[in-house]
Amino acid sequence: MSIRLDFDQSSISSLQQRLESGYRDLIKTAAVATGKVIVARAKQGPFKDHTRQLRSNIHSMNLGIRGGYYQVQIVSPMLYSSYVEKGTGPHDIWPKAAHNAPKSSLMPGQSRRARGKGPHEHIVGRGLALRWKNAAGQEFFAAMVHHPGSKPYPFFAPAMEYGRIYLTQFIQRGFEGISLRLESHA
Amino acid sequence: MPKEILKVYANPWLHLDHEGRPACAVRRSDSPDIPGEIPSRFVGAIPKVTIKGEQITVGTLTGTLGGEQHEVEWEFSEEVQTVPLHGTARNYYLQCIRERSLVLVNQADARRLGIKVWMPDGTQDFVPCGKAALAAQPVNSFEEESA
Repeated sequence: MSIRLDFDQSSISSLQQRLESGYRDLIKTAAVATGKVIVARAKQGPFKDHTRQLRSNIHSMNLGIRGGYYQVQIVSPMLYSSYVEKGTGPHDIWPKAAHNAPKSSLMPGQSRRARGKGPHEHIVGRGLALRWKNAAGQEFFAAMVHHPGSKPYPFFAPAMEYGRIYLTQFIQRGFEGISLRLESHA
Repeated sequence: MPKEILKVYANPWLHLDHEGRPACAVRRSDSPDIPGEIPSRFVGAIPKVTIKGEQITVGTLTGTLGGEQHEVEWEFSEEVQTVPLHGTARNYYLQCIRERSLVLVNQADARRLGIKVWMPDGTQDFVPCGKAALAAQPVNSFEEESA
């Protein structure tokens, strides 16, 4: 008794191509969907809104396949994003002239400038630096103040962790879908 | 040991965005995590992000009606860029050159690194290099909407 097996190589390569195409589509769909989920999650962060700039500027960029990876970039472009995310330690704040003001000039309403050592790099109070009023309306100025530091409000790391789990489940379900379709063809 | 550096051009035209604009930006594998330094994160490309939609201001809060739609437009440099070719970045950048997201400046580098590509006639040859290769790039795929 003999058994004859015929292999149609063209159908195998067609199946392989369809599989590769299916995996590519799955990874692309999963990456794009995960990017949107992470952005939505980061925008729900527990930080306080003062200008709403931080929340509204979080966005994703679909870069496509580069170097063998499908890349989606999630961006929080505001300069202070990392300070909100991680908080700040105690630091000193020194007054500095307002933007475009001549060096050592005083702004209207400003009676004194920073003296002595210090980085003089923090601009606060729109140039009318380190000025406050008490309840009686009396004005006070300081040459330097000690800031106790800011509490962290993590919004990006939790969103990325959520996205990681979402992506894993998305791809797992996709693989199950592809294998079910393969079984139905068999 | 000196770190190996490779000279490349960005190839904007390999992918187009949903508006038909060049959008093939290659992310740097070695980009430092500096707040606000987005331009340095891509090889010869700077993203310009604008928020579409009607802006409204209530008190100190500014928002967009119906949610923000971020529009990304890329600005590409025609200058020679340098990328590192050591550690984990090596395979990433070599793959980018093979798929022509980046174009090598010198043919000598392609020969030294042995970067070959399949030619239209089915044979293999060293990857095309230089400004001429950049100009001759056909657009072969479309990006999904970038928002």
